[in-house]
Amino acid sequence: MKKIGIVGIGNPLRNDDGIGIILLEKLNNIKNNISGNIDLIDGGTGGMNLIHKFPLYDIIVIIDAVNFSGQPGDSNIFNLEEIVNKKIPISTSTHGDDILKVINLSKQLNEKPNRFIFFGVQPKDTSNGTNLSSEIENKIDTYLNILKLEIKKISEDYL
Amino acid sequence: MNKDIQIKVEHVTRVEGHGNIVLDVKKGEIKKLQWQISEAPRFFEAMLRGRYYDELRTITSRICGICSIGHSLASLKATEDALNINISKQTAILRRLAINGENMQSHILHFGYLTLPDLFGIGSVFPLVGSKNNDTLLKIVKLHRLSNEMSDLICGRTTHPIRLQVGGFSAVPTKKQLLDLKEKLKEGLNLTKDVAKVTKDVVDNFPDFNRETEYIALTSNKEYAFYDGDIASTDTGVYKDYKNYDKITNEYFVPQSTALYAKHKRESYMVGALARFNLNSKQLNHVGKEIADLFNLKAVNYNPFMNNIAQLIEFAHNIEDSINWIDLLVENGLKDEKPKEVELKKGRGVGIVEVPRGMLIHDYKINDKGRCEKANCVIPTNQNHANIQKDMEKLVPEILEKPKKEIELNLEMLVRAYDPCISCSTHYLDIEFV
Repeated sequence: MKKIGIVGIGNPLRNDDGIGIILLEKLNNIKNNISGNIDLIDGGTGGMNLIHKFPLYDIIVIIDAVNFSGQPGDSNIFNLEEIVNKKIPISTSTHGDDILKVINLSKQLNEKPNRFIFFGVQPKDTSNGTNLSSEIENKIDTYLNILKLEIKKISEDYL
Repeated sequence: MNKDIQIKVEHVTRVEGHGNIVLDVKKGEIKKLQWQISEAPRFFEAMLRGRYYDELRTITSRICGICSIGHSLASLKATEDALNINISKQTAILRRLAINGENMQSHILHFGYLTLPDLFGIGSVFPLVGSKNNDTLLKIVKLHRLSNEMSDLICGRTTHPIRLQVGGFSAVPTKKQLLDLKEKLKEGLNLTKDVAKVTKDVVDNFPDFNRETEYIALTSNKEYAFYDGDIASTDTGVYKDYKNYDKITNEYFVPQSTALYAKHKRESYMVGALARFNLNSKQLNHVGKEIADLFNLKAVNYNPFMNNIAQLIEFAHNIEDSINWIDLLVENGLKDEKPKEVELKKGRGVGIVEVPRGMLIHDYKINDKGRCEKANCVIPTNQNHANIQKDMEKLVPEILEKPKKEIELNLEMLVRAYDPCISCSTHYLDIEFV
C-alpha cells in the first residue's frame, strides 16, 4: 500500500491560519478510523526540515489555510500542478509561498513523493490570536469527512 | 553627527528563541543599547532533583532540540564521573562520532539556512530557490541530510538520542552501515569545499569589525577538542581543575535578561566555534586547515562575524575526523558491548563537552541511592550574552553614520553570528508580586 504523509501547516497563534495544525490534531484522534497507510506530520509553518520528510512518502497531502478567493470557511482540493502553473490564483496564507519552494527543491533532488495534494481552507482572520472564525469552527467535521474520503480515494487510486 | 535613532527588534529572527535588540540614540549620543533576553525560564535543574541517575540523560536531552546529543554526552560524563564509571575505547570513539554528527547538523543548519541569506543580501533562505545560488542551496540540503543520517545511525534518532547510555551504547551500528556512511561523508567533503568556494566570494559582506576579548574552550594535546579536554582561555591558558569550573564561568544575573551572564578575566568572554578555532586551530585536520586557509583565517581572530566561517571550517573538520574514526572502528572490529554495570555510590560529577555553540557543563550531586540531589548546567549561550552586549557597544559607534536599516541589519547579523540558542540559556525570572 502506498504511504501517505499528511502535513498540517500553519501558525495556531494567527487565528484561522492554525486550521492546518488543528485539523491534523483532530485527524490524530480518529486515526484508527481512516483507511490508508498514513502518517500525520506537524509541518509548523513549512520550514526546510520538511524536505527530509517528503521522500519517506509516495503521496503528500498538505492541509493549510489557503486564499483562493472563496467565502470564509470554504474548502477546496488542489493538485500541485494547478497551483504552480497558476491555473488557480491562490496563495498559501501567512507564510507566503515558502512551502512551494521547499517542494520545488524536493523535486530538484529527484525524490519521492510522486504527488502533492493541497487541502485548502479559506481563512477569514489571520491576525494575532488563537480563535478560529465561526465560519471555520462550524465546519470542522465537514473538513474531516472530506479529508477521510480523499485519503481513502488516493489510497485506492494507487493500490 | 547629530541624529536620533530608535531601533527595537523584537524578536531577532533566524535565531533559536526570543531576544530583543534595543537602541536609543538622541542627538548622536547613545542613551540605551541592550541585548535583551525575554524568553521564559524552564527550570530543568530543579526537574533533575530526586531523579534516578539513569534518567538524567533522558531528561536533559530535552533541554535542546539542536544540542540534544551534546546535552546527553555532558550528562553522561557528569553521571559517570560521579559514579566512577570508565567507558570502553569503542564507546569513546562512537561518542566522538555522535558529537561530530551533532556539530555538523547544527553548523550546516545555521551556516546554510540562517547565515548565507545575510551574505547573499536576502531576507531568508527561500529566495535562494530558483536563484543563481540554487545549486549551493541543494548542496547544503544534502549536507544537512548527511548530518541527520549520521546522528540517526550512531544515536538511534536524529534528535534526542536513545542509544547513548550511562557506561556505553545500547546498540551499535554494523560495519556495513559505517562503511556506507563513510562513502557519503567522502562525497560530503567535496560538497563542503564547493560551498566554501561560493562563500569566499561573498565573505566580505560581513562587517569589518574587531574587538579584542577572551576566548574559552576545551583544549587537548591529542585532538581538536569536542568530546574531551581541559578548559582553556586565550588570556590565562589551561585550567585543569574541572570540578571548580565556576572559577572560570562566574555566572551572574543582569536585569535585562532571564538568562545568566558570565565573565572571567575581562568583562565578558566568548565560547563557540571561533573560540575553539582560536585555541585549537593547530589541531585542525587537513581539510579543516584547507578551508581556514581559503578564508585566510588565523588564530587569534577577534571578529565575531568570523564565528560563521569557523563553523564551516569545523564542519569540514568533523567530516574528515569522522571518516578516520570509522576506519579505526572497522579496523578494530565492532564489538557488541553492553553498557558497563553500575555500582551505586555517593558522589559529585562534572561533565564538560564542546557543543556547536561552545562549552557545555553539567554538574550533578548523586546520593548513595543513585538519586540526583543537586544539578547545575552551564549553557554556552549564557556565556556569550555579555560578549554580544560588549560587541554591540563597540560596533554601534562605528556604524552610527549608516542608515537606520543598515544599523539594524548589522546588529541582527552580529547576534546571528553567535548562533545563540536562547531557550537553553534561560534560567531566571525576577517576578515582583504586588
